[in-house]
Amino acid sequence: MIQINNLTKAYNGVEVLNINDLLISKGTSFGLVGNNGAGKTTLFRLVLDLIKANSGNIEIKGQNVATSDLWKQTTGSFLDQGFLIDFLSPEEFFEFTGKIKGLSKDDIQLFINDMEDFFNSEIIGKKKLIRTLSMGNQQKIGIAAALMGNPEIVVLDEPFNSLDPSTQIRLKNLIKLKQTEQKITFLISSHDLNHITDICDRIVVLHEGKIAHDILTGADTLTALEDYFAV
Amino acid sequence: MLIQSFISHQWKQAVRSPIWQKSLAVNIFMFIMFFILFAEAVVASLLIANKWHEIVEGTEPLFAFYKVIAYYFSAMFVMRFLMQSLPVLEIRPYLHLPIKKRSILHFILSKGAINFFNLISIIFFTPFAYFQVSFYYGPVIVSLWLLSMISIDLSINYLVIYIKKQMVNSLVIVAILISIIGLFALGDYLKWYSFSEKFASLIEYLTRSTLLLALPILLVIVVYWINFNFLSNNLYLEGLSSYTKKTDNQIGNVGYLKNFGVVGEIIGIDIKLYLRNKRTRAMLFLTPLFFGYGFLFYTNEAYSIDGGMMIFVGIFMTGILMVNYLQYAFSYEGSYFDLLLTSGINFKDYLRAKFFMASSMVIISFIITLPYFLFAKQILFINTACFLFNLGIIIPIALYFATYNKKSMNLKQGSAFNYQGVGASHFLFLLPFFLGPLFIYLPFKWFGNPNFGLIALGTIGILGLVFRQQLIRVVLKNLYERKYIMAKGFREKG
Repeated sequence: MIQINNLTKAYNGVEVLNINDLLISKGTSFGLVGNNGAGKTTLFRLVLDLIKANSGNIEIKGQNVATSDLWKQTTGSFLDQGFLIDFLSPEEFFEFTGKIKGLSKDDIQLFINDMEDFFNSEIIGKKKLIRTLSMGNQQKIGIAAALMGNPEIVVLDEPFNSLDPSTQIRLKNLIKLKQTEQKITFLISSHDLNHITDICDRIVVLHEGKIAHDILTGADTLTALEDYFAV
Repeated sequence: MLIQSFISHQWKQAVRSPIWQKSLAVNIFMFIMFFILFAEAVVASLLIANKWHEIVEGTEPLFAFYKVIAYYFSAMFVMRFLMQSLPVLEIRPYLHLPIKKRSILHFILSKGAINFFNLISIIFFTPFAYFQVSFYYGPVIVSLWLLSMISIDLSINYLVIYIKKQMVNSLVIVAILISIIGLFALGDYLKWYSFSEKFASLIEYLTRSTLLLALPILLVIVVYWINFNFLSNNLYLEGLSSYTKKTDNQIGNVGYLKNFGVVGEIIGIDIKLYLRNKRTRAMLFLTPLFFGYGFLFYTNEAYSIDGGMMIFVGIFMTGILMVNYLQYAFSYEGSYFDLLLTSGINFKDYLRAKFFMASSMVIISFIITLPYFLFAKQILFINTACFLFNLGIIIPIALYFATYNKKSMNLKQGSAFNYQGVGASHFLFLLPFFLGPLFIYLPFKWFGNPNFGLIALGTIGILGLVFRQQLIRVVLKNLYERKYIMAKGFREKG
């Protein structure tokens, strides 16, 4: 599904990411952990072709992300506030994203109804603009928009941040549901080792831009990760 | 001590503002522009004040002046309403500290007195006091008179602050205010009811005694005190943050756009962007001013003699709205540029939406400025040629250069004289916009028939329209090449 070849990225001559070879197969939920500055967001931005790699390339379904646009139709993403149009209402934002993804008005309404549980009645019908909502609610909107239009790949950068505890659990259930129902390939980064071992079947630890560990999640993964990050 | 650290923080905020963190050349250019504007205002005010009794010969000079300031104050009221707000948000970091609320309040309220508009009043009234009022009264009364006029202005300042804090929908209020002032002006013009004469009589009545003349000063104190009281009862975080009103939700919903598919959706977002953000809204309010420039240009004989100048005016009148839009076409969307890059929007559709918006603006500008041909028939031909040139050539050029503007705009900060996010490329772009058409037109004018120059301009414009698809492709290629640099720039929030 996603193939990374000899990828490097440097800022002002300092190398921040160097991944020789990484293959993420279809239906995997891929977890990315690492301390601040390890290169998690950089990797995601490279996958989404938001920054230019110094060398190497990334292919989604055999297509180089930097030269093709086709992968965008099947890839949903939410990295940060830059993925929200904050002067729209949530309904308008979903309508816009849905139309771009080729959904009909009914499809969009159906999707919103499906998400109502995840939104916990705090998003729809509030007659507010996104910019006036709390960080947590903005986060919900961004995550939901990334799931629109039956994507095959969904990239989420620290999705659990600023969500309340109940919503964190709802998000975990949602991700598991989408995995089994739609076989979505998830790329998720998080600082919460519990959550990431809970939802991901493969976890990569980044350290100073390099892959330090590449683990298939098992019973002892959480302890291993906790040991790795212990100070 | 406290006031000192407040002032020092304010100073640091101003000096370290990202506005200054751009090239030295732009800063120098801005400084020179402001200096020229300022100097012009001072000189004009001095000249008019000096010759006022000759200008209004046959009437009582002071009374005539009071009639003028009736409208001056009205205009000030509306302008302040549109552009000015109490910088309450800046005090957020201080609210939880053990500082007396009174001190914070006095500080922000006094800061509200130091602004651009009050400077205008000082420039406007001081020369008049010196040249005209001193002719009738002694120095003490003259000083008191000046103080009194500035006090009226300050009262308006605080009144606006108070009303804006009370009212929810300031746009409706402004519309009502403008209508009322318009009615007054009409009444004056048709001699039904003279608002300015009533106002002038009132001011004249005040000047009859020292005590009465001090009344406006008392007025400032009263309005200040009302503000202070109101704020001290309402100074909580929730009251300060800019919660948007519910009605905002509906602004900019244009139903029929839905029929245009993805291009329509993008245009819809663009329109909402303009209507729902402070900065763009302020820009929209200023656009009537651009169209009004025609009265300055066309009534001046110097411009109608030299054809070259008329080209400049024609390009300006039919194009400035579009240029204003296209220069920031991408940077206004900087806060969600990453979304545009990843969401699967076809970039060609995206550019088509921009072309559509820009073309609509040029067409609307052309239609609005059409009546100016009543000043001279030649204007019709000149503006048609300029209109075509703007439509066919300037739009693609502007969109091409817009990709070089990689500073994200903070749309939440309002209004005129806000140069956050303005880079050197903006000024560079204005050169081809104003000079390009002249270079095409002038050779024809010098070596033959200026009408051929107009035909050349129009033809080149039409060629641009014919090859629009090809031009879009060039812009598209440039956008693809520039997108990483743009996205990186937009992520660095100013």
